Parts: sequence; structure tokens; C-alpha cells
Amino acid sequence: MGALVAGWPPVAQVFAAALLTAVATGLGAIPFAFLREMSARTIARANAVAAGLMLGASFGLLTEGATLGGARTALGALAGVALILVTQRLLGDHEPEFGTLQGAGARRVLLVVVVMTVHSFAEGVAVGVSFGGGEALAVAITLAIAVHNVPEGLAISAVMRPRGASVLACAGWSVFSSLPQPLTAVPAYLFVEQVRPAMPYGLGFAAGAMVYMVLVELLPEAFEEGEAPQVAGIVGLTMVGMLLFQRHV
Amino acid sequence: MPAPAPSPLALGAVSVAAVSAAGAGAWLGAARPAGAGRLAGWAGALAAGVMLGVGYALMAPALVRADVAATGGAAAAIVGSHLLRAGRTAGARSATRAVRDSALHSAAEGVALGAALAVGGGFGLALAWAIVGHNAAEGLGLGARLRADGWTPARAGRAALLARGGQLALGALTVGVLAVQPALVAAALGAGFGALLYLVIAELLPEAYHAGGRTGIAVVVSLAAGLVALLGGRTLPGAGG
Repeated sequence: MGALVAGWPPVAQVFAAALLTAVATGLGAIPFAFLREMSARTIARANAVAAGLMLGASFGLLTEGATLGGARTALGALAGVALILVTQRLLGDHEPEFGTLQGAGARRVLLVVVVMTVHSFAEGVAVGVSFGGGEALAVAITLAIAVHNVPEGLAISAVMRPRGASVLACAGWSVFSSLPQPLTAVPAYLFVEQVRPAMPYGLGFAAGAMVYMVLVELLPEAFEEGEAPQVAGIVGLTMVGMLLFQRHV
Repeated sequence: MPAPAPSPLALGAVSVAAVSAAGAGAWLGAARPAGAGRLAGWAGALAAGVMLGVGYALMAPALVRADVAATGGAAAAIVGSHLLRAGRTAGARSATRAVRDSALHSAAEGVALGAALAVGGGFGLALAWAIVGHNAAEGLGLGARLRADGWTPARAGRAALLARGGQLALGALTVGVLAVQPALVAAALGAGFGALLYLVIAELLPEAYHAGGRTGIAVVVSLAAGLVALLGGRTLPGAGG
């Protein structure tokens, strides 16, 4: 732990590292500072990018979970799908507001933020558990998750920005979605032996929620405003890019 | 190191089943006059889920090994599929085009199947049987579409059988090439994954959403993909429980 902040208690260092990973998520909003026009086609492409990033992240989570326990990961994924179904039902008859957004757009953004926030619980646990495995592992995992969070912030911003949210709001909500990371990292570090068996459930849960979100919201909306072959190309290449990024960065 | 290839008898059985499932599905889809569009949509959703699950099972081992060739193969397949798709004429989806699309689907699936069989053992056969189920579902959708254009069940069944020929041919070709060049296995698995992913998003899902509500379609696709991915993962050597 001396490699990160010398003299700090271990628990404080775990919290600081996980907070760093959460703040990194806000960097995903930066590309949208350069986008001025938000045509229907841009919205479709942004949804496709978000879908590809989320599918890539889910793939990585499922792969990791499957090495720890396939059946447990699958059960977690099922629970994740159920979460989004229930959330949709709860939101279905209402016209929610999300910041300056209203109606169907606000509902979609709310769902994306919920899904990504859920996803962050598992990442926070990963940071906490890594600190139980030694200094080198802790540094590697912290950096990996911090870098991994940037495209997740991009995915959230890709859904929010075309609906009129400011870049600052996109960055803020992206960071918010990752705040579970420092909150779960500390208990995971303190109770690492108890937490490890539950990891597959958490990984599957986050992945299932994201995949379902892509299928029920992002792709249908992308098809409404864009051409299916173009959407497929963007989703596919973005997903592959995310897979490469996760494995090799 | 790939596991031993399945026996010729097992391969023959699954090949006959794959082609027969498509023909039977198309006959059944064409014999059912009512609700053709919805049937095609839901069949497409089921097929999409199976293909996504198969794609995951193909790609996951390569990802665990951080194999760049697999992701490169996937990217190449997506770009290639998009270029092929862009070259097709736009316009209403005629019966002939539906059969041609089915043949193209089959060809991409053949590559994925060949790659899975090259990995060998239970993994390849499990995925092959998943594709048999997918062929039946896709045949249902094709038959319903052809019926809408006035094709008889028998004619639809024959067309589906012929369209599946490409699947077997490319599957056998892929197995043969990978037997001679095992270094290409990772790239082939990635290419199978990329081709399946593109087909699902470019072809199957848009029709499915059109025919059924997005919630129901999303549930069907998620469950089908999850089940196939789980079964495919369980047949991998060293898979967790």
C-alpha cells in the first residue's frame, strides 16, 4: 500500500483508490464537449456506441464470472434481468423527470444510470478484494478499473447528451454511477474471504442488467432513428474495441 | 491444444439434424397461415438469442486467454459482413431475397460451427445441437415469410433445405482448414462470433422488434442467450460450476 499513499491506514487507501476509479468515469463525458449538433442519426449512433460498450463490458463480466462459477454467474444474470424488468414496470406508468429531462427520454437515462450504478458495486468489490492480494495486484486492478470506467462514462454520456443534458451533467452522473465503488471496496477489503464466493453472483447480476438494458432500450431506439446495418456495424466494432480494451489495457 | 474431434457418426447425425430442422421448420411455418409476421418475429428472437449464446461460447475462451487474433477475427467478420450487406439491393424483402438472406445466415453460422467443432469434443457438439434448434426457429420464420408470398409448405421446405447447404459446406471447409492450420483457430472463433453478432443485430432483432413488443423480445433473447451460453460454458474443459 505504500505504493499509493504512504502513511495512510489501509482502509483509507482502499477508499481513496476506489474513489479515484469512480472519478475517472467522468472523463467519459469529455468527447461530448466537442459535439454540437444532435440529429436523429447522431442519437442512433450514440445509442449504438453505448450498446456496444455495455455489451463489451457485460461480456467481460460474464467471462470473468464464468471462470469463478458458471451457474452462480447465470443466476446472478437472471436476477439482473429481473431488476430491470421490475424497474421498468415501476417507471412504466409514470412520467419521470431526470434533471432537465422528462418523459421517455428521462426514463431511458434513469434506467441506464441505474444499470451502470449496479455494475459499479461489482467493480468496487473487485478493488477491495484486490487489496487483500498484495500491493502489486491492488495497483494493477485499481488502474485497470479506473481506465475501464472511462468508456462506461462514455456510454452514460452517449445516452444523456443527445437528450439535452450538459457535458457537466453527463460527467456528474457518470461519477455518481461509480460511487458504489468506494462504498463497496472497503467492506470487500475487510471481509475478503466472505465476499469472494459471492463474486460470480455480482458479476452476473451486473452483466445481466446491462445486456437486458441494451436489448430493451438502446437497440430499439437506435433502430428507430438509424439503419439496422449501420447500427450493427457500430455496435459490433465498439463491442470488439471494448473487449480488446478490457483485456489488453 | 484442441480436444479430439467428434466421431463421424456424431457429425453425420448433427448435420442431418441441422438441415432437417430447417426444412421442417420452414414447412411448418408455411403451413400456418395466420399470424405469420408475429411467428417470424418471435422465431427470430429465439434464433437471435441462440446465436448470441453461441457467439459468447465461441469467444469466451479466447478472451480468457487474451487472444488478440480472436478479437481481430471478430472485427474482420463484422466489417466483411457489413460490406456484403451494403452490396445488396435495398427495397422490399421478396421471397427470393428472404431465401438468399437465409443462405447467407447459414454460411456465417457454418463458419462458427466449423470453428466450434475444431475446438472439439463436447463443446463443438453442444454448439452444433444449439444450432440445430436455431435452424428450426429460423426455418419457422422463413416459412412464414415465404407463405406470405404464396409459397406452398413443400416449396418453402425445399428452399430452406437448400439454403442450409451452405452451412454444412462452410462448416466442413472450416474444420478442414483449421485441421491443417490450427494456428487459425482463435481467429476463426472470433470470426464466427463477429459474423453471428452482426447478423443478429442487422437482421434478426429489427424484424423481431417489429413483430413483438421490445420487452417480450428482450426477455426471450436474454433467456435463450443465457441458456446456450451456460450450456456451452459447461462443456468447456476446466469450466467452473
